[in-house]
Amino acid sequence: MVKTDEEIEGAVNPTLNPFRLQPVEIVGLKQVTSDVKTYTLRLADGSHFRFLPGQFNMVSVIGIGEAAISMSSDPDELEAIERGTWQHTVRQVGNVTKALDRLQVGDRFFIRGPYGNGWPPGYPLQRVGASRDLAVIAGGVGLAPLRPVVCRRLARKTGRLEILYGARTPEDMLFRDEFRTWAQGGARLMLTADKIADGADWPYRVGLVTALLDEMEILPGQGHIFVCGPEVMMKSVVRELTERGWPPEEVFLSLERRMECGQKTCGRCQVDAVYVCQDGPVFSYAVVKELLGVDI
Amino acid sequence: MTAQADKLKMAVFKFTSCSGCQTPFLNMETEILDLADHVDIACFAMASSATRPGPYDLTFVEGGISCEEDVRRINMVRQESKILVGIGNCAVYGGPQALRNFMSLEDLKRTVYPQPDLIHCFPTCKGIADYVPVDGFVNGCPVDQGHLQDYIVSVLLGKSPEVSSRSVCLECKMKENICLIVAEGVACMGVVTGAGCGALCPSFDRGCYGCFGPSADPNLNSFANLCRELGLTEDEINRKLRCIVNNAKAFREEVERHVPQPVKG
Amino acid sequence: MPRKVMQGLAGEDAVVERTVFNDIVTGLQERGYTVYGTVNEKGAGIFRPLGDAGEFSLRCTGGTMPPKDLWYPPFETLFTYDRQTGEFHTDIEETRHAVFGIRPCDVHALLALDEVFLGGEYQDPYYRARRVDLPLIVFNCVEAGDTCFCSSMGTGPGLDHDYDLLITDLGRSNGEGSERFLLEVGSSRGGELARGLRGEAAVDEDYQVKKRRLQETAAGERITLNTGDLPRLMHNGHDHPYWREVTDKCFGCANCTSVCPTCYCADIFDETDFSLRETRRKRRWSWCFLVEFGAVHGGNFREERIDRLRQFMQHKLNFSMGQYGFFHCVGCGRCIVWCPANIDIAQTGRVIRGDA
Repeated sequence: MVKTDEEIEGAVNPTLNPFRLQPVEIVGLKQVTSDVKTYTLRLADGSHFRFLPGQFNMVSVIGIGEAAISMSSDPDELEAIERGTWQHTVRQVGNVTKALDRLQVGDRFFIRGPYGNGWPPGYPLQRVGASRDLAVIAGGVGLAPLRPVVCRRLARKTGRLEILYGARTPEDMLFRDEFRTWAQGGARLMLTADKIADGADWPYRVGLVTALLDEMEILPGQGHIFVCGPEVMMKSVVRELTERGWPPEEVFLSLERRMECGQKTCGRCQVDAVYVCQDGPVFSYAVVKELLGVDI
Repeated sequence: MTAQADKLKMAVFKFTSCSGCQTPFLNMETEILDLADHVDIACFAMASSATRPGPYDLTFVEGGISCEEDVRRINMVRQESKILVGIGNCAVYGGPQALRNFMSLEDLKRTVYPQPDLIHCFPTCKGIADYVPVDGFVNGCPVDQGHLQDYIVSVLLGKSPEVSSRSVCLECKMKENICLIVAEGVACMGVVTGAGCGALCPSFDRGCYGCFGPSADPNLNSFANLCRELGLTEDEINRKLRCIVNNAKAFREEVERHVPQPVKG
Repeated sequence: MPRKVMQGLAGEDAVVERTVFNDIVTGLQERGYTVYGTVNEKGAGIFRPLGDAGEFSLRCTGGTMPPKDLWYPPFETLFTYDRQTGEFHTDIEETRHAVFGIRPCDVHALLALDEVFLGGEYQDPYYRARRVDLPLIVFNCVEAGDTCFCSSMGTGPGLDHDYDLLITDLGRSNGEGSERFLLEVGSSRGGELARGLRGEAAVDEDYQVKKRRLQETAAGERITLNTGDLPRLMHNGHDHPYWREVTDKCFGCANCTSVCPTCYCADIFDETDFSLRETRRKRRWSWCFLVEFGAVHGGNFREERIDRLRQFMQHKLNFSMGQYGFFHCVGCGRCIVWCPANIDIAQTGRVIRGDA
């Protein structure tokens, strides 16, 4: 903990300001649901933006503020790499996301990032999630940070992939037009909606996402589970997974907390002794269940 | 210069109040030039008798609702306003005049007016949200000019204005004021009062009067206990909470919890 | 033992009189520093820029507010954005502040903030610009304040690292004569400042007196907290009924966190001028006691006051150990002094760990 001035000075590259923003240009816009859009972006200076699945950016609309938003595209997709593009899939809920909603193709805003650890370390090169089976369980917009994992996994064609996805209504589901491609690529897709309109054509389940767990074919010991959704949803999911014998070390959750800096200095995302912004947002359930202040 | 039609069409209306929350608009002397670039002040009787009819994009309302005429007008204003914002203690809580809510109107009329039968008003004065849906509030008695400016800027930029749960205590600490409660044993209301005044009274060694209303999650029970420890009687605590912002729910309920209600009529 | 009287010290440890304080302050000022020290205002110590050492009040212990704002100001602009040209302007000014009379607890707090702002993957250039040239003239504490518990937290009353000059009041020989202070040099910068001062070379006995006085100070601290195994015990005591008892008193006013020398939490927000020509991205102190602190869209992760109070105390006495390997409570006692509800973090720690 003791540092000399020289050490402090030496540790810092004075030209590097972690609050510096990078301008990005919207090159594509797609309405995903009534209040969710996918923004295809590229850095205005043409350089390549690198990130890991599950990481996030601090997105700035200057004058409005910043918001933490995860990347929703596959960072290894060749076409995107060639074009230097990536995607954010954003629901309009707060000041920043509503301001984004007013932007058009060609408009610019700003980012800094990427931040966070992403889905389990080293994915997809190392043990976790690479050669073994993987189930992703998502609720609502929680599918956005898992989409990079799904895409990467399908591209690598390694191990079984099961997708358990629930949303309030079928209309609230993200990436519906990609479900067919995912299924054809080998993913087992299980869907459920909390409620459906009378007479709606919905051949899937109605109910909470936990209702899908009995349909899982991947069993404890065969792989890993990545979960992302509202905390109350993740709570019931991990409880049922534990009852089914899933070891907490093999279940990974992406936590949501208020973030202002993404750099472990603003203190806003602290939970127990971890900073969600940098130690997370992805934690194994083995870690999460010990954290004071997380009700999962 | 923005074309008139692209500007934010703004209005300011007064109800039952002292006009003190409109004066910050008049005090925007240099800023008013900047304001004119983006805002078209269509209706502000205190500044100009040339008022134009609605609809308005942004309407600030000062004053509480005290009589039938107020009710008719606030409904009209609501109808004409896209965004309706209550400014100041009166519009938010009913104001100092809401003290009559806790007394007999007839007694008061007789005490104050030589011809009490000429006075036609409700037995209560309440904030505007008791009568119409309101989009936002700016607290204060009076409101702070900077807060009004921030509100206008937020609307212009398209973001919801900031609402903070900071207490007056934090403003004292930022000014390095010595805490009156701790050092002087003064029953200062700063601990249960929302920030915004810049800790005006404590900076002059006077305990906070609670002008900006209760803070976001005020612990009134603990405040009453603190007052007792400092030697205040129940009546003195009652008077402290029934002062400038007397009709705010948190302050009102604390009085009701600990002090027998005076009989009305 | 005969003492060697120095007309002008060569930058070594020495025993000096109070008159050298002014020489030190002047020496710093001549080198271009603004020198801050505690002055007595309305009976409380407040860090102010010193004109000369005569304004400095030795009896103010740590000061009402810590000198934290010198390296981490309550408000600062991260950058300015010109909304018309789209240009950014970042102005990071290297300050030249010096603190005369900072106490060991506050030095430990500064080192804690160094870890937060400079010890991680991202270094904060704004903090660094204020930290990089910051001479510390530290006063060891020879008198414990009513709410001090630094010896429990291992942060005082004496300091043995990270000072430029360290001054310990040795008292008067046999209770009479002039006041004597042990001046210890901890850096080359400190040595520069000490050069030429009037004093006597320090001898073993002086260090013995210092040691004894510090032991007496530690023994005189009325508040204690056993920190052995404290994080685990705090963890286990997260649902202790005492939290409710304290919460019932707590105003949630954030006075405690606003006077804490290690609190670093912040808001980052945009402020646009009335003409809409310029937006400033700013950072300001925030506190876990604010209702909005843990709020996200559609919820709040610390909805209840008890959650916010617990976050403050658990962070100081438990979580910080897991984050940084030491406590973010330095035992300065300011949160105890300035709590209008008489809430005492050390008392809470004792109850939760089962000592009270």
